Amino acid sequence: MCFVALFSPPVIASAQTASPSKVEINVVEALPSGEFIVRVNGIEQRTITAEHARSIASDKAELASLREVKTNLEAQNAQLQTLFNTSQKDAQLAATQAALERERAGRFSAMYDGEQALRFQSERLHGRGRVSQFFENPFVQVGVKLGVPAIQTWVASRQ
Amino acid sequence: MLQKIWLWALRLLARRLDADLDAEIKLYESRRQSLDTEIANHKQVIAELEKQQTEISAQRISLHLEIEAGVQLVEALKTKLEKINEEHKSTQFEIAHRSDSDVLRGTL
Repeated sequence: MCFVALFSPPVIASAQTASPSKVEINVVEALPSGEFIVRVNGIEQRTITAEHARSIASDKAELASLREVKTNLEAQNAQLQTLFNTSQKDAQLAATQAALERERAGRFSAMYDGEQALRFQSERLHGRGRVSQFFENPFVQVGVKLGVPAIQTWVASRQ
Repeated sequence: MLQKIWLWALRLLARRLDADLDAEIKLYESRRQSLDTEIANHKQVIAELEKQQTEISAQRISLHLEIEAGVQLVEALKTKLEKINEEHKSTQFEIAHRSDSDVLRGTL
């Protein structure tokens, strides 16, 4: 059955006989919606009301709009997925960068520690032997301070 | 005699101190050398790390540019979507306000 928009139903309903242009129109069935199934020159067709036509036009416009919206949302979705993947990659790279930075800081710290240890060692170079440690003892130093002149005096008196 | 003994003892002490100092200096020098080698290794690794950092930074800059372009594209799509919705509203309004005759005679 074809769905065709014809003129208003009352006009069709009244034109059940063949017109001068030899168009034979018969109402086959009156539908509860106020529309009709008619036979025009032996072919069954359906009339639609203005309200129905408006509803069809509205639905078609909505369908076209929704198709556009769907395409747009699909494109947005794809783009957002790409953005998400890119951001994720960026985050991974940032984490790698942070790890590298930590390792670099560790290396610098190790270099600093080595230098510092060596500096302390160089500062302790003087007087680390057992003999010098003996002479660094305060009591020994006092003894040396007092003893050397005494010995020198004693030696001088003997001569 | 005593003076000779005294001098001998002082020389002995001086030699011992000298030997101690030599040993310390040798130890210091060996540690210095070892540390220098270690530092050279660290510097090499640091240079490699810095090279990697530079590469990663370049990659990240590129990614940020991609992200900015992507965001702009999404904004453009959003604007287009708003336009579609506006057009849809306008079309629906126009359909609702058509005369019955226009609706029936118009193209569906």
